[in-house]
Amino acid sequence: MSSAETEPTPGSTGLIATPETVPASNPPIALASSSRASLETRQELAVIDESLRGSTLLFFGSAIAWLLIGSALSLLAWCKLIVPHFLTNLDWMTFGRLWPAQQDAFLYGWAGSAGIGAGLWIMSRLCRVPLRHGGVLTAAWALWNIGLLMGVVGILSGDGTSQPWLEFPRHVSPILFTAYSFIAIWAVLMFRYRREGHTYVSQWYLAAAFLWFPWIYATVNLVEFFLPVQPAAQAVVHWWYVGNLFGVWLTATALAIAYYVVPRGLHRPIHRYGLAVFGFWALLLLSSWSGLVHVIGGPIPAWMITVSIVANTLTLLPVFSILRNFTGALEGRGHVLRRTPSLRFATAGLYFFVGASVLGVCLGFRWFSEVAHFSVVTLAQEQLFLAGFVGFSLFGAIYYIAPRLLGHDWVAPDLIRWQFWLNVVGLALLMSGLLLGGFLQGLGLEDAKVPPIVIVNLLNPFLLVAGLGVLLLAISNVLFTASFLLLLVGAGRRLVLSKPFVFVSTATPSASAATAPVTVP
Amino acid sequence: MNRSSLIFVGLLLIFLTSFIGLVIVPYVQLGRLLPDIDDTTRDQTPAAFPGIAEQGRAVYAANGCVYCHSQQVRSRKSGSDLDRGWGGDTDPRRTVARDYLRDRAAYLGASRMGPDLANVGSRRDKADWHFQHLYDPAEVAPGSNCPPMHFLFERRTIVGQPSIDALQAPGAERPVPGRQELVPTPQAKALVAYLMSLKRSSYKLPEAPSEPAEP
Repeated sequence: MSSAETEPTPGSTGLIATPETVPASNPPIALASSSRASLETRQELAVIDESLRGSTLLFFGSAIAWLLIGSALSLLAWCKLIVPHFLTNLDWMTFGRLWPAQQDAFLYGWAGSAGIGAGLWIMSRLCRVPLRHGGVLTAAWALWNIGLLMGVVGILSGDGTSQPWLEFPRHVSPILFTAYSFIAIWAVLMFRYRREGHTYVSQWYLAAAFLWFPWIYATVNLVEFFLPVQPAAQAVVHWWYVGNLFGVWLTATALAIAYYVVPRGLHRPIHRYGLAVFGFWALLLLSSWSGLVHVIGGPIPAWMITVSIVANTLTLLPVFSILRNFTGALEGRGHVLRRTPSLRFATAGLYFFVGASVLGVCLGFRWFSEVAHFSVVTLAQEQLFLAGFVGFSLFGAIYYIAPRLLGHDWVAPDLIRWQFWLNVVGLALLMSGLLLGGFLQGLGLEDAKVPPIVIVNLLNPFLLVAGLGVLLLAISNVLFTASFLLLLVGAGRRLVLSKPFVFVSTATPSASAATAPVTVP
Repeated sequence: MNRSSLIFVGLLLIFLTSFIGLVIVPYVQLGRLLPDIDDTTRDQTPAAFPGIAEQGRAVYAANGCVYCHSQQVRSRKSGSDLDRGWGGDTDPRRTVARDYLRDRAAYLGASRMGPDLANVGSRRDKADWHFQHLYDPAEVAPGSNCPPMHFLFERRTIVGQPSIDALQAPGAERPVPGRQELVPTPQAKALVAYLMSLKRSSYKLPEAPSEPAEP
């Protein structure tokens, strides 16, 4: 990225040089020359972007706020883990509250909100439908964030449920469910009444993600909190939920981003479209069955666990066919990764996806799970998935989308470069600490002659390394926030100086006053 | 794949497979389990929790003990749990679905930074040990990284008679002897009652035979 000054700045995703024409062309390559993009298409895109600008930026903004809150809470939780005697008089500062609070802040707050923002924007563009009645979406955004805030505060004040990834107090779930359902209806209606007849992979994944979450969330909340069944049955439904939450909801959102951002960044279609069709259906089917690998050996009927292990192992087929879509397209074009942050983040995210999937499959094997099951290796897998795959994909989406909404490019290339590498190094430290320490811990747990205290003391230095990784991740998140704020501030300034070509004045009524008076300099 | 209806129907079918397989069927298979009833005494196994232990379960959940402690014992085939004595001493056995029948919620756990607690009430049957441990785990288990829960105790000046609940022989970071004392809050008492009620191998269930250690 040293060429940042001579090349288009790293944020440049070709706002002007490569306007997107028919986004859903199959293969979905952005038609490279602006001459082929008709004025009409550019106007249409401008109208779509204009209609989505407010709500997408709201979701991105609140997602980044949750990213910071999650980072702060996770730093505190790691401090407590490494120095247990730190602040012992405050109940909300105990490890068992900080930990679920940071997990849910990251998962629902950051990944959930950013995924909604990116998902709606991509869906809208691919369907060529502008957002109508944006006010309802803004209300849903407010409700979603009120629910998140009540949830995190609820956990810290002692109302958490202690059910992994579902710790928000039970009165929060109707709020989140209502808010998300309104958002999902928007996405599904857009898809149903799209103007572009042709559909593209990203749309299928987004349709899946938006439809899946309300169903699984309502089911698990009913079974565990509102009409509770006996706890062993709750546990089955719980891990079914977690499997779907990660394997379908988050995976589908992040893959939709990759299928959108990567081909456009490369100006090249994905390789072997048929693999994408197979990958889509197979991944959804198998992932939705694979959640019970988390309770191998647990007090539930063995056939359920066995089915999950089989499904979990088979996910490797769709995972590698999805990977082939992208490696085929990337061949010989690695240099583009250097200068396009959205592409670089989304591509790195894909490799983390493969890594997390392979590790997840290993955790399903009985011999592997015997050592790793209750160790921090499972935490490593979750982090590689959440901070690596989902996190990097979402960063890629925001790097791609935000400049298009604001009409100019990212301001500080150095910040982006630092953010990327701090993120990678932080994740590497976190992984090495958790994986090495986790295997040691698992081997210790397997040997009944080693007392738990000895295992913990063996593990501590590795937790310190992992904690250092968490610190670097937190710093990189602060850099990302700074970058985003500079973009917002810079947008106000630069819009006055030079008007981007896409915001050429349009006669469409739904284009609001903000774009209408703009003239081409 | 250009028809929305086709995609929606496909998604619905896929969703329904796992919904039926991992929600409906387990609900039918597990949701209607009944306690084991002794033919002569009519005693039910597992027995219901004492009331204060149920409050303690809420304290256990509120403070996230589950993030480091599991409450499930695997059979000898799947791990060293029974060798560690986590499945009880006399008739060691794994835990099964019916063990959780009387819990409002189960905290099976996915991480073992600390020991399993499915039978902690059998292993540690002195309330005082639990209070000491909650106040400062490293004191009763040197090297432990379990967070001290000072907020579950009230430090107060002794007026007249010392409280009978006060922590016995508290060690470092102590109140002034004779003038101050550490008294467990109602939450701490409920939590200890819950922990001491966790004795899942103290009764037998036909589907979980005892697995004695091999000589």
